[in-house]
Amino acid sequence: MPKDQTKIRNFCIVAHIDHGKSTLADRIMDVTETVSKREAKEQLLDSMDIERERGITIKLTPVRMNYTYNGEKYEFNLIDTPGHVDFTYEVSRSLKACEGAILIVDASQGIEAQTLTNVYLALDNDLEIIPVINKIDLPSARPSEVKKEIEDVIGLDAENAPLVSAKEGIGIEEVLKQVIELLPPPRGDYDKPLKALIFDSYYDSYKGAVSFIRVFDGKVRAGDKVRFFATGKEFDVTEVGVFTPRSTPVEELSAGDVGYLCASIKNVSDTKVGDTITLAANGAKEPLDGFKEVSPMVFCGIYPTDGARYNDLKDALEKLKLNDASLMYEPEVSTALGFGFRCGFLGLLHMEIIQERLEREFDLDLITTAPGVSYNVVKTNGETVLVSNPSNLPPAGDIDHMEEPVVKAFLYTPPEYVGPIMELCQDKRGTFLDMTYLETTRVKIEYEMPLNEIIYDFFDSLKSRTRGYASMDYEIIGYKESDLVKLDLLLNGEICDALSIIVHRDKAYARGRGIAEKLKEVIPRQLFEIPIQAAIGGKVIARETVKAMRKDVLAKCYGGDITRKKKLLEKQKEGKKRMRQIGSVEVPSEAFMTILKFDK
Amino acid sequence: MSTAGIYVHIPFCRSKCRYCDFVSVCSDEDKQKSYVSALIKEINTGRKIFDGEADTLYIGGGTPSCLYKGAVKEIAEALADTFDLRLKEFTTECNPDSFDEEKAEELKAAGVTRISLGVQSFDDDVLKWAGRRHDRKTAERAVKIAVRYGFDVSADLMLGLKGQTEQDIENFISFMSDEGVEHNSAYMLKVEEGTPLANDVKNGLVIPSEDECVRLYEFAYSRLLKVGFSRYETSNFCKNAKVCLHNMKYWTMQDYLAFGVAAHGKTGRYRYYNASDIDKYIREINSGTHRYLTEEEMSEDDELGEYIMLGLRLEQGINVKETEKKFNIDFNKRFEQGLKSAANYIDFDGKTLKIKPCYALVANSIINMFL
Repeated sequence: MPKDQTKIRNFCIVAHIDHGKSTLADRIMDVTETVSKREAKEQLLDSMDIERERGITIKLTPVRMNYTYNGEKYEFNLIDTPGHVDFTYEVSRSLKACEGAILIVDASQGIEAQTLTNVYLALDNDLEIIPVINKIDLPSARPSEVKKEIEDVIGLDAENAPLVSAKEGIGIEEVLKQVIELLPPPRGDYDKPLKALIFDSYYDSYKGAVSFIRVFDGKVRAGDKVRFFATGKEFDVTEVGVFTPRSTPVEELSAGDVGYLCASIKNVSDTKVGDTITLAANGAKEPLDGFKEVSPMVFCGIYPTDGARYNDLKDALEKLKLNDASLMYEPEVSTALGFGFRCGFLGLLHMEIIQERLEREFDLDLITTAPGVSYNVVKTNGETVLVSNPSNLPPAGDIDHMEEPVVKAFLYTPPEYVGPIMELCQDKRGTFLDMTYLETTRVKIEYEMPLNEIIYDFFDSLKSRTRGYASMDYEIIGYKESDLVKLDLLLNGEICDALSIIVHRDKAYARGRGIAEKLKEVIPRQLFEIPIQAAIGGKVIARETVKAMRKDVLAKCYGGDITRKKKLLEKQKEGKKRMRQIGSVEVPSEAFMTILKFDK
Repeated sequence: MSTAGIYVHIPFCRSKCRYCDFVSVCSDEDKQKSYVSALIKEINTGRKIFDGEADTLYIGGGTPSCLYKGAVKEIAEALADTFDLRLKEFTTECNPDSFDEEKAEELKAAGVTRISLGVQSFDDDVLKWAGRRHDRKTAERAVKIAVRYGFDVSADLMLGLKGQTEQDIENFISFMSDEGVEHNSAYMLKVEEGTPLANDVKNGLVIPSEDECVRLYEFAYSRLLKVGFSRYETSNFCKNAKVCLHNMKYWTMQDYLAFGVAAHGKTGRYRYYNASDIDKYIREINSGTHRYLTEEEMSEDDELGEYIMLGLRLEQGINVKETEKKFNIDFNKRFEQGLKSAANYIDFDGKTLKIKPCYALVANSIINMFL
């Protein structure tokens, strides 16, 4: 039976991080009685611990809701989306499954970097947008100014934007009314061959790969044989269903629906996000528009602290990869750290999250090397190689020149911080492009900057220099030639490969000194003196010394209390286990991250 | 069965020093009496652990010299009633402020042969800072009395106390040497968790650094050697081979029995110790429900590990043949890796293994290479 698509609304919520997306989603579920009070916990759609703790959304989560308006029953499919710049890609995927979007703007903060990024993404996807002003309960709320900002900066009519406090439950009905009245229903064709877009997938150990789909045309049921356009592979559908928000099987998904599909698919790579599913018999001839593949931009080495757990780390990465197509990894070997993986991430937050999940969900102790980007290295013989691990850099003599990824950065700030921001961007090798006053209290600054500089403490510096008022977003614009050098760190005369980084020549001296100083602090005194040197090529540019240890014995052996002494010894031995032997020097795991964390 | 040592713990002090985390409390005579009576009951059951001969007795604390008059004798008699005592050495720890002629007389009569005096420093400001009850004058008097009464005397010297100078160490050592004291323990202040000192340090108190402590230790070491002492264990120095026989039992892993709260004993591979709650100890002994807090049978590996750990603290080092015999191992093979890693820091001639004297203070790192 064809469904009445005019009673379906598929929409998502887009906003800058912290403007209240997940809270509004929770309130909407309250009002539509999608979850019982008993089930309700804060940020219901954020099911990962890490999401709840950090108050952020990483995975997108669809949910189906029922709502009666003017005596008519409506079906809503709401897709919650991440707000952070690293996950722009996930946002754009969920937008494809919708006809409309709720744009939340914080009533006191106004438009921020990701507000615009996400709005533009929504506009690119031809979505209808409903602006909503949130947090009107705050004393600092200035709804009319924010409305004007939306009109001036984005060009959306914000006159009737609902004034909402998701936290206090104010204005939610008005939002739902506008969803029904202003957002268009889906306009698929029930009778055409099946066309369903995969906008996400995850791996379930019982059901196999589960695809999140938006059905544009046709219908699909359990028992149907379906074909995946990208691979050409065919599978028997075992289950279709919707999210309420728990997975609930239904008889049929048809044009206009959002739901999930299982087909005992063993390999998640067969359910490629962006692919189109159709029926094996009399299927559609053409797939839907897919998404462009994202490539990782930030890289680091990840090693188990205990070398014996290499295989556990491998299994853990495989499992995470099942639900996170944007995570890349490949095995690598470091003389200092042994066997591990070079991993690629969408950005720094993505990297932190993966590290944290590996440690928490898989109980792994990790050593991570400083994050870096991938460089185009053009060799004297004309060959070009992509290098993401500094240790793989060809010998200096073989390099003609190197290119590094460059981004266009957009910074939004109150005018009083323009000075400090420009200073910061200059310091980070930025090239000024443009500056616009969005209104008297907000300025947009554009810079072209090396990505290398952004992944290295840029966000922290930006937040501290602007007391948290500035926000920032960036897009990769390509590779540019740059005067880069490899900075090596030597411990007791031996190069420690895991500490090597690639930096701009102008920064090399300061970084070299800073890292050497920091290493001096974190490397414990040992039985002999340890010189720490920073060097470019063969030239030493900085030197520090860890003096020899003078004393480690327990002063007095009291009574027959051998246990006490033994414990001390065991503690020392345990401490050793967390150390990596680099030549003759023992280096604590933290040392490998310190080169990221030093402030100048 | 081999000859054992006996340790008795007295958990009482007149006041608590700020750095101390040993088990001791301040208490009245009634409490002391009920403790000693419980102690004697525990001693009376001692044959179930050991029925051989014992030749050293060490009463430590706390401050045994602050016990009520007659207590040490009661304890010694209970031990003599229970065990086959053939004492070569009977040490009692004393603090200068509770050691006078009367105490000396009393201990002499109880059979004590050796007094270990907690002098720690000769600088009155330093002593006050550390929370000691005595001053230099009192300490000097106590040492002289102990020597006069014919005891073997050992004096403790603490290094790294706040405000301590080389002059203080110099004064201490020359006085001891002049008075004929033949044993000194010199150990560095360690900040133990849960002590008032640890709290002060957390709140910003600056105490001498590791390097400063080592400097003072090295100064003391050279002064002690100059006046005729030799080091026989990391913190222990003696003249005329007057080593502490009882402590040597710990370091060479012989048997030692233990009585009283927080006391640790060992016979063969069996190791045990008492809990540190005094009231609970008294209650349980009296009601016949007393149990050791921990009892364990060491594995052969554990035993060998401890043997190495303790033996390497001794200046004489470890005898290869004895070790091979005791543990039925091929020494070179068993410790191949350790001997290799530690090569720069040890003296090894195939017969004995020693840590080079200049690395005595970093012995733990070296010992760990063998474990």
